[in-house]
Amino acid sequence: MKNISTLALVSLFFTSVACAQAPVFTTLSSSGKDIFAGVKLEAKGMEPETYLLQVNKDLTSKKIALPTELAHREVIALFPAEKNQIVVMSQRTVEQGDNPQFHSYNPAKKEWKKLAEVKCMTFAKLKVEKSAVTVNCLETNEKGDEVETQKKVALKDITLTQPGDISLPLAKVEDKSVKAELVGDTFEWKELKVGVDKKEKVFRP
Amino acid sequence: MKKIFYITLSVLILPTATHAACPDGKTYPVHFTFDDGPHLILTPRVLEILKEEKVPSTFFVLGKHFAGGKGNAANKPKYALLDRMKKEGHRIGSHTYEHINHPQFSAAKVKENIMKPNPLLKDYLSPVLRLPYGGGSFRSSNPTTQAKNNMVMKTVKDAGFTHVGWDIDTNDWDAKKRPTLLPTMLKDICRQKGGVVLFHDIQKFTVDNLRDWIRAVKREGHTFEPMEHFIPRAAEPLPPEACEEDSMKPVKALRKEVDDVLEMIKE
Repeated sequence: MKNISTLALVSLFFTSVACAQAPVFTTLSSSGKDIFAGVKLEAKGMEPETYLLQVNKDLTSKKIALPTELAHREVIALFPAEKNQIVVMSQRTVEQGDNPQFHSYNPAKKEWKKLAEVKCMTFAKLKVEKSAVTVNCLETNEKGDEVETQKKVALKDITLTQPGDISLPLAKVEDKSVKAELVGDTFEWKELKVGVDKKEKVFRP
Repeated sequence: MKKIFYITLSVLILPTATHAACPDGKTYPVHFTFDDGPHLILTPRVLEILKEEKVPSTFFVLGKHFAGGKGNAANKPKYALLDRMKKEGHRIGSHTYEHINHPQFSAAKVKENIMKPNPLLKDYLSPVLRLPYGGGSFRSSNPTTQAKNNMVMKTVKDAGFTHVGWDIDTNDWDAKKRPTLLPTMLKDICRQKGGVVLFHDIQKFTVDNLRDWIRAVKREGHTFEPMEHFIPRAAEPLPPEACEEDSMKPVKALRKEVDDVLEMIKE
């Protein structure tokens, strides 16, 4: 009898483990000094939970909690900025996308600041400038055609350090001696492989 | 003896192996749903494909597309689309009036946005509703968020609707996820053991690819089932409370519930 109840308990445990979905990485960036990656945990019936993972050059990592207003939004892109700051582009991606938001995070002060919002549900290409990001927005119009429009967002007093064109999803970055790559099926990346000089380490969310 | 064993084994395995769509060797029932429409150009194309492929589906329409109701001449072709959906065996559900994230709004606004489409669509709606962004339908570890979600779900229930979420979110609206949509959807059908699949009939990309996706699902051996296979209540008519203002509990009571929880947290 005891064996049966133990078995039942074990099977219950495995059922609940099977229902919970493992956290995945959603994007990454490298400032040359630090690697930042977005993490999302999406369990059925639950609000998605998100946070940032910061990996330093000495290959140690720490979690950075997002402010309450961002906790259920997916981190879709990260832009390194001056003064070791990071700009987080986030979007609610459940059922349908909402307007992406830009927030800056200052690790020294542990301070979050909302910078801007762009009225664009879907895009895959971005142009990063020193103090602005342009989104190549795709919209289906009333005629049923998909049209592309460029929407530029100014990021207040923030200066981005890596201008250039980006195609999303971004799963690999290389910057001087730092290499980082998301490993696994696209959008289900379960590992972050970071290489600094000749050292390499794999991180899991 | 060994030979008999292998023959028996192959007889047992073979019939399943022919339709071994999923790693577990099984195939599953699925139901396609389309949010945010109707779109005057794209929705008829969706209906055409569904008819040709014999796929009963559900359209979660936005009430704002029917502002002014049947009295507004501009709505005539939209109502004609609803008639066609019904005639061709599809279900029509409410996606509320405006596409807003309900927990971010007051109880009064939530109630208004849920109730407003019902008189405009009463001849068409099944008692099923899908909240935009799923907002309010999830459980949250944050008590404040959970209190707001409870308020939204109570409003949905009091209005006489069953909330219908989804088992498989295709992210068809998301340009960066589009290249992997089909393999991800097929994988998710297996992971979730079938279920309700979410699309948008206002996306050109979806309409352009719908037929291929349907055929891919069929090739895997999965079956298309009507909404009532998953939500039996979908076959029922819209209950009277959906259009009766008085049957709702007073807004103040709902507001008070949220305020009490907020106050408790503050303390």
